[in-house]
Amino acid sequence: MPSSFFTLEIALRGMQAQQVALSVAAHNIGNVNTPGYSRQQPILEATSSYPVPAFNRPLGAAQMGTGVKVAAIQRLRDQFLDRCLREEFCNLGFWETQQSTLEQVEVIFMEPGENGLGENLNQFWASFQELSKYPESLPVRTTVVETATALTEAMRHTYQQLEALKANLVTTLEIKVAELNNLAGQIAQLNKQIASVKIAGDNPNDLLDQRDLLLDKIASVVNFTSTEDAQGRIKVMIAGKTFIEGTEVQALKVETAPELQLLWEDGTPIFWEDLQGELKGIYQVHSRLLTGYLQDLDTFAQGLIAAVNTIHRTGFNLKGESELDFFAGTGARDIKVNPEIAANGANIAAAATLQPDGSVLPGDNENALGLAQLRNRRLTCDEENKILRFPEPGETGEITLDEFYQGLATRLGIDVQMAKQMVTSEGALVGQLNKRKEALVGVSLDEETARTIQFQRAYEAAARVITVLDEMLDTLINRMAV
Amino acid sequence: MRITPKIMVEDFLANTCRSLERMLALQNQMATGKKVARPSDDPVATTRIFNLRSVLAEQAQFQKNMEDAQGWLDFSESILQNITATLQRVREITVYGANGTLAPEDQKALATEVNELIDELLQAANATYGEQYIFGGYATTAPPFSRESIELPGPEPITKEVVTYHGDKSQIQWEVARGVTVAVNINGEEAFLVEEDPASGKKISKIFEILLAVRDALNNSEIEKLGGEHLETISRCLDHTLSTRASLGARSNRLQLAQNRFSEGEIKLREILSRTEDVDLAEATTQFKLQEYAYQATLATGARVIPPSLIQFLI
Repeated sequence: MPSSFFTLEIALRGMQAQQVALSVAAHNIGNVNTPGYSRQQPILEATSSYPVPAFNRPLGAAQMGTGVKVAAIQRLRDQFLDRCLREEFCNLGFWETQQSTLEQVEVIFMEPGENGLGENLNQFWASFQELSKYPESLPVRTTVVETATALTEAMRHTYQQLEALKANLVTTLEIKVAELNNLAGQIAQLNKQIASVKIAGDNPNDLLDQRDLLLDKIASVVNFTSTEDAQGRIKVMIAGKTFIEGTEVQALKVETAPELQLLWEDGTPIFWEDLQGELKGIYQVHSRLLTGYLQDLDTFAQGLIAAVNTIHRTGFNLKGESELDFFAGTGARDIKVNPEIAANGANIAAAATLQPDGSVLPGDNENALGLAQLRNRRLTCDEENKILRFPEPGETGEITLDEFYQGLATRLGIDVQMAKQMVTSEGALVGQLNKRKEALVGVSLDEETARTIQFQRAYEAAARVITVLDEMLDTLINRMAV
Repeated sequence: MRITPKIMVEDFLANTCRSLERMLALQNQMATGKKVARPSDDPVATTRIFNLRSVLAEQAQFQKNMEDAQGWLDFSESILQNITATLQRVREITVYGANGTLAPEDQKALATEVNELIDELLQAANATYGEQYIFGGYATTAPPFSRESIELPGPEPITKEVVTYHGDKSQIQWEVARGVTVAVNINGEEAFLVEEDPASGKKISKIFEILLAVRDALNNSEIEKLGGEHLETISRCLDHTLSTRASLGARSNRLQLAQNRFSEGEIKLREILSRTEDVDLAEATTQFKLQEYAYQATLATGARVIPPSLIQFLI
């Protein structure tokens, strides 16, 4: 037979347990808007019954319950969902980085519009047509110089802006990597704290939430795999190499020359093909797409310089001089109108025939016409060496200069459209997974309110039991045998 | 599924955001009037727009070239018309001067008129269109014809008045369609029958030569010559000028036809360009209206769903 105070103890345990449960509910309510917080649940468990089975147990009815205890406070979390989400964060990061940068590229090109390079090109060809009509007119020649200058300026400007964007990306990458290292440092710190709580046998719920949030952040930057050891410390691997283990972090660094490269602290390189996420997105835009656009723009500029100069050199300017270049420069970076021509429009070689006395007839427009007709000349595109040139005898040209530039703008359009579509679909996927995760880990105020009332009532009931017991003991102690 | 307030709020925010995004896109389309503002809006349409713009710009230039060429040709034709009139007058004078009944003074008076007509013709031969001399071939900046005296070699050198040509026989070609060029000028050699004089090496106009000969014949009362070879030569010159005029007129007509065809093509191209890049306002407005309803509905439901929770009903 248990003692008179046995039930008092049960009621007390009940009150204590309900109080703990109530404070868990309060914690949940308090953190309803905390990012990364997952709701916690008190695990209530009946304490072991009395008496313990043994031959010398006290005689009496069957085992009696001894009340309740909070066995653990658990956070609700699904590791599988976390993993799925992180994978999608990674894809989303990859495409978002591309989208945001490529949209800037679109703004730089300003196509299709009245301010783009395409329009400059139209005007450039038109000016040669006008020259072919009025080769003797200095104002017309000046117009040719002006339009050509505008074209070269637009090209140089576009090229420089793309290069600046590329340089910006390197800075962005450096910042991202620094951020990544910083996140890793925080995770290592949390690893230490988590281990010390786990050793003591408790659940470090809030620390785990914090660590998961950091891991989510890392996930959009770079892809990784993770494993947890017995003490709850997480080990993070990037591209097959350990990034965080216990409290140790092997930091990453960026190398910009000769190529954009990611290195471990010890200098071993990480291959881009093993990576995903924002880092890969930056690399993709920097070293693939932007480099490609710059290359194409350069090829276009070189093709234009070569083609126009080839024809221009065969003609004669008003002074009867030939072998003059129309454009100077080696590519889109430094293309400009030959200073001699820029200084004096009379130096444009509009004429094709030199008179016997070494002069040129001012109305001779044949070379100007040749230059104007260059617009529809099909050139050969040497894909391998990235050169646009006149077709060799026996070859047929396949692309005009205008078409080559159109191709570049279209390719940019397709790249941006693809990135946009991927961001939309990845975003939807992330949204869906997030909703599923939130359904599990999110705090519902309705639910917590209901639970609060439930715990409150249970607490009150336990207290009521104590009152009853008190009255019983009062009867027993103060009123019996008085 | 367990629905938490966060899910409600986030879905609400995502929905309003999507709604606004679509509205913004439509609003931009309506404000700019363009469906395709950036290549990524529709890469395929972008290529087409590019192509159409480039073709239209080229055609506009060709059209301008044709108009200018027509100006040249029509102007040349009107000058040739003047020349025809002058030659006709000279022919009349020749016929009249060959009449043996005229007194020498009258013939001299006729010679003076011919001399003036020669000046008139010279002025026509040195006509400029804009700043370009139309009969000089490529030599467009200097008068192509001038009156001068040359010495004829011989036992007793005589000076002879001639009109010499300083231009060349180039045809000025302008491009009026892809790869199609048209000669906009008639060079002086062709128009004024210029031949090189073997003795002096100068290029001498036969038309002027005959006019000068008529003048001299009138001055010297060489009636047989006037009525005979001179009249015949003038008639030939007149025929030549008329046929030159005809060829100019034909070229001008050809250009006119090509221009009409071009403008038709241009209208079609502009139509395609507009269909490709311009917004259908009626459609865009309807779409916008629909989006507006959707947006308002999102806001209305959001306002009802987000605030309440059990707490409000317990206290």
